[in-house]
Amino acid sequence: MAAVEVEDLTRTYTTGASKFRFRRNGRTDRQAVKGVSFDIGEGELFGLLGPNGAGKSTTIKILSTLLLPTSGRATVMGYDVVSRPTEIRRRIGYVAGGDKGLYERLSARDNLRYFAELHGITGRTQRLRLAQLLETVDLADRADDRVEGFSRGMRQRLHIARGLLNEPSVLFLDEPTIGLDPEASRDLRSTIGTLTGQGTTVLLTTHYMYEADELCDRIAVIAQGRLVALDTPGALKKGVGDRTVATVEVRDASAAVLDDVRALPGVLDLTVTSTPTSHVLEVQCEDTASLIPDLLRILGPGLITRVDTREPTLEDAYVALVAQPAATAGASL
Amino acid sequence: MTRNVTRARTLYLRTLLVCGVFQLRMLLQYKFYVIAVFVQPLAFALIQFVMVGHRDDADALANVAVQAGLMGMWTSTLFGSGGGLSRERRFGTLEPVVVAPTPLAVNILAISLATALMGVISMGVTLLLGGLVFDTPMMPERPGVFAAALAVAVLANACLGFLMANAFILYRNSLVLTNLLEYPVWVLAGLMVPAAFLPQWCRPLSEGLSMTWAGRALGHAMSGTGEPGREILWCAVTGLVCLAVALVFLRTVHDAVRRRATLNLI
Repeated sequence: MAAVEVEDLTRTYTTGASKFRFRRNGRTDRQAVKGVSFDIGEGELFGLLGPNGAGKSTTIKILSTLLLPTSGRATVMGYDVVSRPTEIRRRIGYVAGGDKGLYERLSARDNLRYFAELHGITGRTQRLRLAQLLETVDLADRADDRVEGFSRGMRQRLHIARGLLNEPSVLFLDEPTIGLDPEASRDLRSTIGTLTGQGTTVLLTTHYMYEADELCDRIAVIAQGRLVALDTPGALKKGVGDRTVATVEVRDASAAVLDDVRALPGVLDLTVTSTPTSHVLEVQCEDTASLIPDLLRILGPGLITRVDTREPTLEDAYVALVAQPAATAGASL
Repeated sequence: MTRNVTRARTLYLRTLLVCGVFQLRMLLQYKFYVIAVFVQPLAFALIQFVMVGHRDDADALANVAVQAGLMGMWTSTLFGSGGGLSRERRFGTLEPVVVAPTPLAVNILAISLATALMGVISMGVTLLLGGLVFDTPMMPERPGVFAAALAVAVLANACLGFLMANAFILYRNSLVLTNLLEYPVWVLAGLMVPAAFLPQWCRPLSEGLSMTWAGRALGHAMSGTGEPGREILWCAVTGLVCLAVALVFLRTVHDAVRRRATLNLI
């Protein structure tokens, strides 16, 4: 049995609706999820990637029973998200990223205790689990401090501890490492790896490609509410195997020059990262060998400080997938 | 099967009490709220003591203290329930609470119970004012009945707060209701003027409010007259009706917020 099954799922948000049914002025329907289907096996670590507003969080919220789907079907551990929410809630953990979601005027321990009670975890089991989780997320020494004084990273770690309170069969992690420092992120990735090793199914959304690449068994890429790719990280990278990436650092590059680079034959995508003293151009192309002389000519050899080439990463694959029109991208499934 | 149901109910009751204590602790940290719970009934009691003080009627003065205390209890429940749910929205805690397997009702009821319990402070303040400032005996003639009536009043108030909390979950702007509902309930429950002075058409509304019966029961327990037992019973019945309606309504509200996606909107 798959831990999570999603079949032709759609979700439409209605905004600005008139309170009076006979007046429909200003009512806007926005389809956030459009016919998404996938399965997640037990113990699998499944990544859901996509730009902001792609429908990742909506999908997670439907699976964690916070939202109802508009159409389609979804089950978690065999239970339907519409008709059996309580059964699902007993078996899942939900961790949303960000500052919110905690009782500011309670301590970290009391926050966990509150939610432990809501999960029916009491007595000695509760005490032991709280101590263990506070240790796991490195908050044991701040356990009795009020949450209102916590940094974003500490709050995020507390979110994670709360998500693990009921030892869930399926853990939904919605951008869990947002706001964490590199060391804490690495520790969390290690914790997630341990959990899947113990048989926990994890559905992870993230904007950090290296994180998805390192952790996920399979990745689904969502763009504009549609699933545009679903495969292992390796296979997704191979999907852009006909590309290479040239990285060029220049001291100066005007908008007109960048347009000229984009217009070069064989250039598939260009991203520019600017610092006060330089610009780093990442040019995805079919063949760097034939492109580099043209790049040198356009950018001006005197302004270039570094040139190198590399094989495509998951980020390159992701950029290629979300950049192409959703209608044609379906073919990559 | 029956054993499982009993076990689940016991667990929910425990959760209700523990979460209620946590909610009470959080409420006590909101200094302005605590001040309002102290000061408002004090002001009302003071005005009414001055108005009826010349009558030299100890029972009337004791009744004033009780009614003003109940006014404070209603204000605490009304603003506490609404404010409590607004805070849950603002903190983003409604989502994790909904995702927990314990029914949402238990958490909402815990908030309502905590706010109603704060109302006991109001009652204490007004009784102290009467005893210390106006030199009126504020010891109930029937202390046991008074304690029972107060306990039932708190529970019934919590049920009424729970019923209103449904609106606070469904409509994020429903906090404005709190301002609208404060005075009408005071008037209908006979806390500002005796319910007998109300127009005939208001009477069924008045008698349907647990606050009305709580006021009568507490007043009679103070003076040692009337039938407070019957009034406590009616207070409990009207409270239980609110609870039943709220539980049925909450199912609809729960589905509605999942459909509308308004749970985390501020």
